[in-house]
Amino acid sequence: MIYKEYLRISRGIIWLSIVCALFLALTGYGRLTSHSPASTIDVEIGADAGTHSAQAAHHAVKHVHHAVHPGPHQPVIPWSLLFAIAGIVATIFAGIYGASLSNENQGHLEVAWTKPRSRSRYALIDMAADYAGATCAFALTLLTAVACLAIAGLVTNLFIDRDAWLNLVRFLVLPLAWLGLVQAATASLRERSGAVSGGLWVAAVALLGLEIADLPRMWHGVVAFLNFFNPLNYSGYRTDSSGHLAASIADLQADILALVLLGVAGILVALVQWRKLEA
Amino acid sequence: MINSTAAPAAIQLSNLTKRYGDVTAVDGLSLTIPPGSIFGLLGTNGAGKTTTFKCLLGLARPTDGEVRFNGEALQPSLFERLSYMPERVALYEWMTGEQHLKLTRLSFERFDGARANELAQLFGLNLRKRIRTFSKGQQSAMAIVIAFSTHPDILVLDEPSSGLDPVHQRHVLDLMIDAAAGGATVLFSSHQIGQVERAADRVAILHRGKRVLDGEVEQLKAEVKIIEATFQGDAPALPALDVNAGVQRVMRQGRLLRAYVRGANNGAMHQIQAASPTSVRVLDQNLEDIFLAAVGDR
Repeated sequence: MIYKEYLRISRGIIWLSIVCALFLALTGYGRLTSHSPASTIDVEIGADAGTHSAQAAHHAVKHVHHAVHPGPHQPVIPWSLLFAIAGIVATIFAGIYGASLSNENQGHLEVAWTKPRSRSRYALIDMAADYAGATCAFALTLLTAVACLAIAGLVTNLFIDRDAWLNLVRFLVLPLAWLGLVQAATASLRERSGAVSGGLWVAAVALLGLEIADLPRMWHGVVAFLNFFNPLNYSGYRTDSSGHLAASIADLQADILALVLLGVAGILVALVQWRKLEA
Repeated sequence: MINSTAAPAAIQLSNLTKRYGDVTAVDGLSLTIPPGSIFGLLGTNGAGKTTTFKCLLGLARPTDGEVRFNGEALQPSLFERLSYMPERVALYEWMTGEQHLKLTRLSFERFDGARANELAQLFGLNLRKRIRTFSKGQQSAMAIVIAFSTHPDILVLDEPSSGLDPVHQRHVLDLMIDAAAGGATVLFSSHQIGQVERAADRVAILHRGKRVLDGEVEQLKAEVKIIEATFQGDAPALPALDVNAGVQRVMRQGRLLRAYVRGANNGAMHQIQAASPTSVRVLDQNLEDIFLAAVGDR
């Protein structure tokens, strides 16, 4: 029943897999070329790093290999950062997949609507497949990031930060909100859905920029209002000096709720449009 | 092929109306299509055939009127037993033929893979190719393969032979006749009147959204005869014919005069013979004559 959706989603995932494989290969190549036994010096980034750097200066070929056991000042990588990266990639894919109803409206409604299932069910399955595809992109990106870190010998630098689980949820529902936005904006379009989907990215980033710009009060209010509907507004990622997110847990929970509401509202708006369409 | 029992009509359209703004595409159309019949819908471009099909299948919302299949309103589950082939091929062009057949298999319980492969072979389709690489005729053929591969009880085919070569057009007609012989109801439209005449046992003619004629093909053909007369010079004007109530219409073209006469109207024959033609013959009307008479002068 979801064979077409499977084919559609898998095409995108295949392309992402190729890109991920490329990243892994590049990381592996970088690791191999920087790890020659004759000239490599293992440098532990820590309190005594300075003594080693003096020895390193005497060698003609200098390769630096980070030790696998981080010291107290070694750069750390919170899982939340990886979730954020995976979430953005998944959101890009939600944008790519998210014009699926519009794609049906580009000459295929006669096929889509003459199957023994209701229009609403058809659309919901379609959108569920879009989200499943975005989630696959999330998982694939996350796995690739971890694998790249492992190849680079940095995997032990990963640590589970205070808000990791909340951020995992937040960056998993960010693509849902984006999907809802794209579907709501394109469901009734017979053409140019790709341009609209791309334009939404530009608009969303521009709105975030305008929010911090020095605008007249009224315009600032308008921008702030529009940003209520901007999923990127709920996906901020800032850490303090200790690597913890600057946002409070309550803020993160509110972001998750807002993203879920945006996603569900967008899907409902798309569904209403879909039901009103005519072939 | 027509089932004469009192079973409800396979398809019943009652006062179907569809307006797009100020334009009335279908205007109060009522049709009864008996089970097991092959029903041809004829009309000029823009007559409302495709809009009728779309309203029939819920692809467009009728402004007014009602559609019933075997006495029941359209439900999604009906599409398990109904196949539709749109005028413009709506297949997913990025899929291969095999993938499209798999999609059909997973969507319809009644899909018959052996039948689909047999039909694909009949139309010479390479199912491993993507739909976008098919010619227009091959895309139409692919849509036909899909439509007939589920053994539907009702087939709605909008210009099914569009883009096909004469050999494959004949295959489509044979498939329709074969389906009806097996009890299926076929509703189709075509600009190829000869094909409609060959396959359909009933027709309706639409003109500007309205039904202008419908009935059994043989009955319609028997209703009117053509008296064709040839003259030495230009065919004369015969005022007596113009006022003859039994004469449907008179055509003059050079030395040729054709009078379309209802039933056995000897009066018309006498009036023509009185003008001393070089030859006179009585012809059966064909569907093209019926169609042109119905829409030609309107």
